[in-house]
Amino acid sequence: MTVATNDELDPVIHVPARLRIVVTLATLGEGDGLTFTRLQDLIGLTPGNLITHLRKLEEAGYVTMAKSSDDSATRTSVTLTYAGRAALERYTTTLRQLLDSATPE
Amino acid sequence: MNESSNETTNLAPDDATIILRETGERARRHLLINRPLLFAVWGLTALVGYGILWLAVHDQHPYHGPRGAALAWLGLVVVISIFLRLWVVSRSSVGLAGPSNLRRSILSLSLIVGTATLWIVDGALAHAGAPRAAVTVLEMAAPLLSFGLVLCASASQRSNVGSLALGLGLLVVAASGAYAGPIGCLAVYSLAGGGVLLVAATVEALV
Repeated sequence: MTVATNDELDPVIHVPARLRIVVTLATLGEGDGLTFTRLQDLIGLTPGNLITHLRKLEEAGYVTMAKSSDDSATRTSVTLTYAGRAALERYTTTLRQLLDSATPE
Repeated sequence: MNESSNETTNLAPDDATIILRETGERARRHLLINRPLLFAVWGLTALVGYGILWLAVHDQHPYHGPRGAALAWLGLVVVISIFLRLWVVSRSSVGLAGPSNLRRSILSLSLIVGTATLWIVDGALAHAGAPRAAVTVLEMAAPLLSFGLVLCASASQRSNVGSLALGLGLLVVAASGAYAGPIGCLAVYSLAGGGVLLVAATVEALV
């Protein structure tokens, strides 16, 4: 078995705020999304910071953002893509390997 | 917890593991339906609801069905149960968009329509002159039958063995309780039906 290194951790996810975003969205069923404000409540970021991190995730193809509007307001919902879910799985596997290799026998 | 979007964060694997665990727990607490609580509500509803009906009719000879106060108490129990169910589901649905909301609506509608259809068939049987005992047993079994079938159907969507076991358990209780007759079935549905749901709530809480 090859030993994983820190560099193998996906840099898009390996940032506290983005890790929290991806883990939160992965809790939902496939295809389900959260509104921007609800995600903000759960993650605890300012709207500006959250949108910055979401754009990075969107560029990587890990989330999609869709706008919908009713009579009074426009809502943005954020959904984890299949690629995002797979990336999180790879990330946790690599992380586990890193921790296992760091643990003394 | 107002974090900058700065990219220079040096996140240690141990810290990443803590974030994964804590964020996952927090998200599950806020975004997933609290199934143990939901099953406990349904279990208590069956236990108390059928129990009220049994207490009202257990010494009737001949059987003529529950009246006045018992039906009022039953109505109150059902209303409280519906209110609690809506509360448990709605607190996990805030800000949620996607197929799960639709799936929940379909399951709720199936339960309501399924029970109502059985009661309509029951009414038709009574109209056709079926014995009072048979009509009453089907009337009382209808909610457990529909709920059991809906749980089995929902289990197939997510390969959820726990839901399948609970659904089958309720169907077995509904079928076997029918042999106890119009008064005895109420005791069976209260104790066994409520019991199965409360056991499911305990198992869900422990797993």
